[in-house]
Parts: sequence; C-alpha cells; structure tokens
Amino acid sequence: MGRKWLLSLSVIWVGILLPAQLCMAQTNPQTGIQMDQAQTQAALNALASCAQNADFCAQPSIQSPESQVGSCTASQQLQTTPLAAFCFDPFTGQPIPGVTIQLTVQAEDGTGGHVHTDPGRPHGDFNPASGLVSPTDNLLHTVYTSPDVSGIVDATISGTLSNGTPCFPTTSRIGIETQGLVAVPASGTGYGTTPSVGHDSNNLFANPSVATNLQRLPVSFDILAQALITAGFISSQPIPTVTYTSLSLTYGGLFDVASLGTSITNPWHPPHCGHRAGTNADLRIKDIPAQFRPALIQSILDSHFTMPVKTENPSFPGATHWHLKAN
Amino acid sequence: MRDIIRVFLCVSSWCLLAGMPAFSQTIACPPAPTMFIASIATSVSFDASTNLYTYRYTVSSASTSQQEISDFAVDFATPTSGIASPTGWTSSVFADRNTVHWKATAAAPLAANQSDVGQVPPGLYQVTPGTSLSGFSFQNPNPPGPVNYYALGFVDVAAADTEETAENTSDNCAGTVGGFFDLAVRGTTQGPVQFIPVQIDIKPGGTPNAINPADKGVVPVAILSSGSFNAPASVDPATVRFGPAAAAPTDGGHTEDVNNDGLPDLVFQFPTPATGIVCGDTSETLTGKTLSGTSIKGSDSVVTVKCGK
Repeated sequence: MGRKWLLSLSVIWVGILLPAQLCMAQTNPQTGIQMDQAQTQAALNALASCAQNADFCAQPSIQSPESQVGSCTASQQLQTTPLAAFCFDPFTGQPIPGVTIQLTVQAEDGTGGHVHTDPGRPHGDFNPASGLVSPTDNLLHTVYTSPDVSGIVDATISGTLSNGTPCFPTTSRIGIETQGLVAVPASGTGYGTTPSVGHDSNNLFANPSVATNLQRLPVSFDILAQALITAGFISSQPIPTVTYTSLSLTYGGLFDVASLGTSITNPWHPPHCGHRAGTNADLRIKDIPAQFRPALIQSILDSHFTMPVKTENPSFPGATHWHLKAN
Repeated sequence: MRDIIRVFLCVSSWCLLAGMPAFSQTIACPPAPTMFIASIATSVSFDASTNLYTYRYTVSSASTSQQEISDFAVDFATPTSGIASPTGWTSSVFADRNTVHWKATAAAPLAANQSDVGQVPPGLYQVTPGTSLSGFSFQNPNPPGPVNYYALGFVDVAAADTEETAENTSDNCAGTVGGFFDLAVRGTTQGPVQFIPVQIDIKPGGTPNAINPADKGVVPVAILSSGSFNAPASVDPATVRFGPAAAAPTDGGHTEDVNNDGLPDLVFQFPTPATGIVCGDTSETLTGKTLSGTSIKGSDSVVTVKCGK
C-alpha cells in the first residue's frame, strides 16, 4: 500500500554505494538513504578520513586522459574507485530491479586550492556512466576514475524504472585529494614565498617532513652565509632571503601554471607535473647572489633535498629558479 | 660527457590510451659527482680532562681524479661538537642525523661579463687532483670505530630550459641529481661509534657452529683480537654476556690464540640453557664492555641441531 502510494508520486530514491570493503558515504544524510550497519560504519569512516567536506574521497590521477597531458613524464597513475549505483525503495531499503541508471559528474569551482574558474575543469568519469542495473543484485556496477585536479566533484545519480517512472536523483560529493599535506607558513626565518596566480596562497602545501625541511633550509643557509661573511669570503651585506615560489596546492593534484610563470595561460594542464604530491619546491635563485650559492647547496643537501635543477627562461629571467625535490 | 635520456611522451588522450609516443623530450643529465678518487687519513686523540676524542681528517684526491672534491662528510650515530673546517669550507649537520658535512663554500663572484643563469660557482678551496686538504675535525665522547665517509666532486647544478624539463630531470637523473647520500662516493674511515664491533668465534676450531639448544653443557665463545683490538687486555670479563638471554660466563675467561693468527684471544664458556638459544636461530651475539667502559658487540653464525618435532 505504502509502496504503491510512493510510486504514484514518482518518488523513488537513488543512491550510490561503494563495495563493502571501500569507504563511502552513500548520499547526503538528508536524503534519508538507508544503509545496513556495515555500510553505515564504512560511510562514517570515509567521512572522517576525507580532508574536504565530501561524501567520500579518492586520490587524484596522474595523466588521466582528460588532463591532456603534454609533457609530464610521471608514470601514469589512474586512480579508480569501484562503485555501485542503484535506485531503492525507501520503505524496504532494497534496490529496485530493472532500473536504468545515469551518472553525471561536475567539478566544483573554487575547490582544491584552484581559485580560477576556467572552463573545462577535469571532473573524472564513470565507466559505465549509464546502464541497466544488474539482474543479480539490482546494482549498476561502475568505476570512477579520478581527474588529475584535486577538489570537489559532484556526482549526480538519476534513474528510471522500467515503467518509465523517474527515481529521485541525488548528488554525492567526491573529494579528490592527496591527504596529509600541511601549509608552509608564507614567511619565516630567512624565507618568504610568492602566491600563485589563480591559486592565491594555496600553492604553499607540502607533506609534513618536506614542510619542516623547507623551513629548516633557510635557517641553515643563514648560518653558513653568515660564516662566509664573518670569514671575509663575502663582503658584509644582508644575507639574502630564500624565496619559494611554488610547492603544491592544498590537496595536491595537478598544479596548473604557465611555463612563463606570469599567469595561467594553460589552465588545467601541466607543466608543474612534479608539484602534485607535496614533495617538490621551486626556489627563486636570482635573489641569491652567486657567491652564496655553494652554501645554499649545502643547506639544500643537509635538508634532504636532491641536487637542484636550474630552470632559466631567457624570455622571462625573473622566473629563473632551482627546482628542489625531496629525497 | 652528458648522459642523455630520451623520454617519450603523449600529447593526446588517444596516445595515452594507446600507449603510443607522440613526441619526445630530451633530458640532459649532468655528470655524476663521482669522477674522482679520494682517500681519507684519520687521526684520533683522547683528552682525559674533557673525556672527549678529537677526530681529524685529511682528504686526498688522486692525481687521476677528473673532478675537484667539493664535499666531505662523516656519518656516525652520536651528536658531536667542536666542528672545525679548513679555510674556505663550512660545516653543518644533516637534519635528523648526526652526519657532519663540510663543503667548499667560499666562491668567487660572477665575472662582470658572466651572465647569471642560476649557476653555482666552484669553491675556491676544493680539493684539486693530486692534492690533500687537512683541517676537518670534531670532538666526540665516543671511541673510534669504523664509520662511513662520503665525498662529492664538484658539478654545477643541472640546467633545464623549461619547468617541465627541470622536473623531468629531477625525476629521471637520479644517478646524477639525487640526494647527497645517493650521489656521494662512500668509503670507510674511523669515527665515533657507540660500541666497538668485535669479531667473535662461537665454538672455536670448526664450522658450522652446531648448537643443541636442549644441551645442558656450555658453549665456548672467543673474542678475537685484531691489530687494533687486544681482547684480553681490553675486555672487562664481568660485563660479557652471550645469546638472546644474555647469559653470563661460567668463568672469567682464559687467553688462547684460537685462530692461530699470533694474537691472544679471550675465550669464555657460557651455560647453554642460560643463553636463550632456540631452535631455528642462525646467529648469536656477544656483548660487553671494555675496561674503559666502551661497549663491544660481535656476532657469529650458528646452526641449531636436534630440533626435531
């Protein structure tokens, strides 16, 4: 009786589930989706572990097809998450057979540290993105492939019963994120930073040990530089300040920036492949006179970074920097 | 000679899916900073008034070396003090480890006609081929033992013309753009150790060293002397322990040249049941202290027998 009444109103709930071994929030709790105890616990775990306010989270991919990577040589690492979508009867909590499911995704502007709102933001994909639920369990089994860009992706699930009755659509928030990155203070003893165009100051995140070493490096450099001045090898002068120009974004992932470093002329694309996981940093070298650079190398090595690689762009020499990579 | 790595890349989703290269990017790796032959001379003195050892090092470069030595480091396990450097070198300690690192950091400024492209000038006081440099020293309360040293040859930082090439150079030139300990030439020298490693011989006179864990007898273990360690004259017998259960010896030990090298060794007997040796053990360790209080430690292989189910 109750079920017929519900169907007559054409209100059938749609949800999306992770397999039991994975963590996921089925939908916004306001939708009233019912889950069994195991799924509920998994959902709670997922909510607790997501750094962003998301129903569940996944790592960003590297070189997913939609990022149209041009020159990043990092090994392709597609991050995939198996999911099961369904349309269920709210009275029984059971998935309904014979339903055709559609899944769409839309990345949210302003998330993941990206302030810019250029069109074409990668959002990842479901495969399949639509189809008839399985006759064995009444679920549409699909796989979500993360985009390269971190942030929030809204996944909307809709469906139609075999008799043409639409299911009530729901939206889940997928948090694409590299977890555990911490903010390096914008300035500290012996160093400063520059914000990134299109990302404000969201470009100053690194994994905890790298963040610590990035703050230690200029302190060590200051001591060595002062020793050289005291010994008379360098004329008395203020010790130059170390300037970091790019680390990683808040939740890692693709850090889009133009090769000239002046503006985002190629949004949602590399270069900056190395700045995805909180382990790389760019250091503006033109601020450091050449006589100080051997001491800077010593501090870099002591702080467990690899030997730097210099990048000099003749058309924009101000962007000349040393690329540091955590070792 | 520059090492060239050719990296194939894709420019379209088709290319990514098909795994086919669409164009290539050339990465020029810098030379490895290992094109030299170094030798390290060490002298150690002990000041009883401060209870500190002073370690002094001389770094020499063979005349056939192709690079000047720009970095020298000594790696050991305990904090140190009183670090001194040769002229034109500075010293530091690696983060989170007790490695003293010296680098030839005094450098000339760029010449007036030299463009600043982010390069590193060579140190003025690097160790050139065929020369030696003294003046590396520090003090430490721990006695000398074998430790690792590291040295780097001078190489300017690698150059790249674009951001992505720089990143790819970091990723693909690990052998020449890696971290200090990965790149450096490594060798053994004398430095502070928390214990003196000693050679021991379980059941002297034969191999394998078969031990029945259920045996009620004793296990003889010899602490071997060497050119730099006189076991009978150095070891405090009261401190010697053996096996997982740290068994004490049944006696104060006796002197015997168990390996016929002309040096007197120190032999102890340990009650097997007290050693804690169990079936399946493959190695056992002896610990103790010298008469001056420095720890010693040594291990030898064993084969447990009569361990049937």
